Amino acid sequence: MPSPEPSAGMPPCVLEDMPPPPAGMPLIVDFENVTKTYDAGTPRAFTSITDINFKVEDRPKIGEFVGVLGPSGCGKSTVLRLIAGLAPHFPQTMGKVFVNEQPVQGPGPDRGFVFQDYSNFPNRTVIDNVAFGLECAHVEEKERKAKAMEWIQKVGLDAKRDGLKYPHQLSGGMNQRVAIARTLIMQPKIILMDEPFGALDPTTRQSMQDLLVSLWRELEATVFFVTHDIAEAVYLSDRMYIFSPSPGTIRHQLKITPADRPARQMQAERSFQESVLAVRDILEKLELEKAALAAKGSPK
Amino acid sequence: MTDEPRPKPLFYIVLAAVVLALLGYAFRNTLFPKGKGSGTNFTISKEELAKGGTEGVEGADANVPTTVKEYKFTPSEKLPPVKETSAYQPLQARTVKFALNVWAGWAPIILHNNGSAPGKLWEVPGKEPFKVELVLIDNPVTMRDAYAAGQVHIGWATLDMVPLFMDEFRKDTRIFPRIYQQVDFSNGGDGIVIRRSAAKDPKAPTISDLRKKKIVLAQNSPSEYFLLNALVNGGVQPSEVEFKYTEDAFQAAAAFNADKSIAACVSWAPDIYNLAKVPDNHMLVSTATANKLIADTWFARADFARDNPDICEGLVRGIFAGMDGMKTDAGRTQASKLMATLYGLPEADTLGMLGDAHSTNYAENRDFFMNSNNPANFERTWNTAYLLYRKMGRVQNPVAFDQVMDFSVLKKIGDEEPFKSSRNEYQINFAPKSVQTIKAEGSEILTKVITVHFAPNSWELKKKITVREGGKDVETLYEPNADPILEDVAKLAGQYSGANIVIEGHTDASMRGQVSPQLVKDLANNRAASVKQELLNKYTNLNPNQFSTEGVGWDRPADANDPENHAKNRRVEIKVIALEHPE
Amino acid sequence: MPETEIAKTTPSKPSVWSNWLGRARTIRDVPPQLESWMFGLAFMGLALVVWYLVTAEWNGERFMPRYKLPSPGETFASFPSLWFDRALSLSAIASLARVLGGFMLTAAIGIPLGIIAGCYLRVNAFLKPLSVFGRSVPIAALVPLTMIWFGLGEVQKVMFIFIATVAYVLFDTTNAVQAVPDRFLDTGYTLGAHRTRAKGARRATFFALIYALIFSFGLFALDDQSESHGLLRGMAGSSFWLHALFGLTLGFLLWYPIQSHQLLRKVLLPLALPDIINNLRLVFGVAFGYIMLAEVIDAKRGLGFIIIQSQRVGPREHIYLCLIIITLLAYGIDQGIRVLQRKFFPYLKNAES
Repeated sequence: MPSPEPSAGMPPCVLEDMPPPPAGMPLIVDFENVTKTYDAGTPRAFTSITDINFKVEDRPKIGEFVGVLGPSGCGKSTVLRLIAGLAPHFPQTMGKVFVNEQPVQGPGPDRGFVFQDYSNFPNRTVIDNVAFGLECAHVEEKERKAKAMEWIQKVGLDAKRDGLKYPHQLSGGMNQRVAIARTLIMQPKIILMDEPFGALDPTTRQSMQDLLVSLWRELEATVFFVTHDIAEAVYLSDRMYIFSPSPGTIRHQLKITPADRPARQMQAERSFQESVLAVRDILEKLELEKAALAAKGSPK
Repeated sequence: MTDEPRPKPLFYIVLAAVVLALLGYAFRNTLFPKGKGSGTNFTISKEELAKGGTEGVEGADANVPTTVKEYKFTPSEKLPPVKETSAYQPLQARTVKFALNVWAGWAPIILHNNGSAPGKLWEVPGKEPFKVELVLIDNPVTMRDAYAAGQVHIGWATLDMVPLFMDEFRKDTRIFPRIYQQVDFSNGGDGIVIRRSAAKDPKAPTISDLRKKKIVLAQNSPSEYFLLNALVNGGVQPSEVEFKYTEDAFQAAAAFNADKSIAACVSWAPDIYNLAKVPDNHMLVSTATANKLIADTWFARADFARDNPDICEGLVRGIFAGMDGMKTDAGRTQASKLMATLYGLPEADTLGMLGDAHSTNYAENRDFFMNSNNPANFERTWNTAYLLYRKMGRVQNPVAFDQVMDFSVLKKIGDEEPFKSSRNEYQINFAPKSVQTIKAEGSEILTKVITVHFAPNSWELKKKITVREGGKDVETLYEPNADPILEDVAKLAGQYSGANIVIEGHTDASMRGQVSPQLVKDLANNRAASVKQELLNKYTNLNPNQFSTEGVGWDRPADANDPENHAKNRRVEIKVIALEHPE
Repeated sequence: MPETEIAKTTPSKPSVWSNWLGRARTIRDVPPQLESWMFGLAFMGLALVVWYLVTAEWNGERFMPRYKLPSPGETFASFPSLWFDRALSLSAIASLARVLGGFMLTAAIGIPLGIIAGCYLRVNAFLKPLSVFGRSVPIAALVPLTMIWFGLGEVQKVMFIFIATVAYVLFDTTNAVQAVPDRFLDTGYTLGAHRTRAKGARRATFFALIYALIFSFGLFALDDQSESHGLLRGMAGSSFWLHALFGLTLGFLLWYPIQSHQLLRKVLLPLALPDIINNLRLVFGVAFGYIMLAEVIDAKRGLGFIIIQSQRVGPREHIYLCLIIITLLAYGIDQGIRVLQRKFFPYLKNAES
């Protein structure tokens, strides 16, 4: 059993604000003063996020892994869905959302999305689920099936054995592998993941994290990853956004060592665990803040 | 996947389908029988019509009586006895539940009971009085079921409908109906309306115009009896007509209005009069003319009648009393008020309804129930209904009329006043008119063609000849069917008591050119007159003024395409002509 | 303790019987399939015994007289007359054909319209009054009205079934589409599902042609005059082509919105389909009951017609037989549809109602 060693490079976690991207650098995602209010103008009005500002540079052939953390209900999903252009979160109430320096018009296959609850189509076999995006893009049946088989193998499933199964015949982990294959087969430049491993048991989770890292390297995409698991976020992220309690806004932008070793190994290191503890401290403070806010708001 | 030449599942499915189809075809008559009585494939002969649907006890009598001939049996000899325990709802506070429908004929009982609620006491001499609750059940099937279940003690029906109920009633002697009294004859309440465009002569449509046409009506109802009877008398077999059935007569009128491909409808007042107002339509016939065809009656359960003969007697008496009450304007106003409450109709409507029915008084009841020579009596109505419905496949084994007809009360009260001096008031005064005037003023409803074998140059219908049979001289009728022919004509004339009956004599043209036309016309006229005379001799309550005769001779062969068919041409034609154009 | 006493007196047997009793007394214990059937059969047997007893003769009299309730023997003895004289098989086919005809029309219009309404909520809001009206209108009152509108023939019966069921199917379909979770829509969108106008138009045209056939030939076959006129004469008539044109337009209008969007065609429709079919199956059972109402009007054949005739002129045994037969037929059809459901939707673990 290999003993935990400190990593050769810089410490895994830097609790400093990210420097703003150098001017003139192309941006892949750009939020400018984005606010989302539901039922605006009615007594039920609810502001989910307020005044969100961040810029993620386009780093071709490398990509970036952006972890998003924050107290529950702070609007992390809203940010992801605004990027994806999915209603009812899209469109934002105020501010501007740019993807590839173009304002977002609506959903599209250039921004893949992996949901927590897999959402594989129950009426389609694994192959047909994975091939769905290609089918929508009018790729010929033979070609898309071959490609789907290839991707089923890539996510660690047996294309021959599992390809003709229906989602209800698969375990949760297998279903999420199908969901990942289904998203990545479209080779999106942006991958949005909303707690994708939230429903999985810890062992499966770690192997899925490794799988994700390896696939992401191959795809060279920018990944936005919402999670409640701090270790997961610290392990996977290059950069981490920590949200304030609702109405959410970005409180911290942290730079983190990329995951360059298997999860099992890296997560056992002391420096890694220290970083996790540091992030946890931040989050606990935010949770206290949230409780204080709630107490202030409720007496009346 | 495999290369073996194994048939696919589809092959087996197709194979199985083919085998099943072949089997189905081979056994199609067992698997898919066509059923009986679809009502498209039968005819009724004149002999059958004369005889009716059942063998009556005394039936048509060959002897010629000169007076009213009443049945000699007592009803209890014939009525099926009831042995089981009674199964009707016990009387509460001596209150009889009497079912009735929305119909003018019930006015006397509503008047006599002073409305539907039990309250007024009905008296029976020497017996305890009782009360009557009138229960409105308009649907005949529901009424019959309530009656069979004992929920009501007394049911209503037109006499022609009762045979339709009998297949069920005969299963249990307790629910056998005892028919004590006729309350009315429909007098304009039912009618047949035809579209003028469907007739050969749009100015004067007749029953024969219904051949090959669509007619809409309510099945198993007086409408159907009315229509079938008219068709058969007018020489149109039911198989030649396309019947369209609706649930009730109102729907029939609505369907006639909505669907122009329907040539005629049978319905009720006021719908028939509203339809006939439209110039494109013509009231072919109504029960104002066929005024002794549809008889409304009430009947008691046999077990109820056995237990409560006094109540049955009281009902008969009370209803006659109600009829008397209807003779005054005050009575009519009061009755229409009470009917308006019971039926939920405006008073003006119920007052207008009263004319749809003719309440039949004691004398008319006696004539209907007991006079075996009345051509429109109970027995003949019963048998005609049975004949028609049996031919239509609706009923199976007939029940004889005397198993349901109970005239014991009528007989019992006959010696009392006012019944003793009661007279038949249902007579139409026919002004003497020439045949030409009758034909010109009235509109023909139907023509019944009857082939009669008159002896050459003889006009006697009942001419007797002598034939040698087995070495002996036997006297026999030249026309062996003389009595059935008379019965047939009498029934028609009786049912259509409100119409002129023109008897036309026709001859064959075998002697054309050898005798003078006037001589032939005289012979023809004598033949027609002979039929009329025999008719009046035999059926004494027929009104002589209803009949006219005409000798046509050989001018109008029975079949224009076959003028030399002499046997067919030696005939009489009975024309039923309404008194005047309804316009 | 009574249980231990039993255990003492019969030491070898208790295991089987008391085991069974223990299971039978356990809440939600699932019995083996065979046992379930046995219990079902036991109920039918019990019903038959009760029926027999109340109609049996005791001292020459019956608790229920024959005109109130015929005995099982009398009832089943009247089967040959029901089969041969009343033409049961052809009547059943006639009734089924009417229901199927009306149902086909209901499905052809209710399903696409329901899908559109389930996707576009403004259409749903627009159709809502129709659903409310159609579901609460007293169906029996429509019978005479359909007669006035559509005549006395088969068109009236088919249209009655259509009018009586279309609101249910429309509403159920809308609900089934709305019940598809949003995440499948999101998934579809993010994988690039989009509008395909040209392809949608091609596919909708195909549907429109089928509708044109249904409305022209279908209506022609229902028409009373079709037998006397013949197909060629019928085709020469202007109404034939008008009907075809109507069907063509209707089919295109109904299916273009569905076929022209991949999300509807590939996601919402297939996901809602099991629910839609299941609802159809339930409504079919109801429609089979409704046809009896329509057959009071000029039905020369039909199960409802047999019942009406038996009510009017007897024998009443036929009514009881018909009730049994209709129940069996409806059950058989229901089971048949279930088998098809399992075959066509293998991904549904259980095609329960």
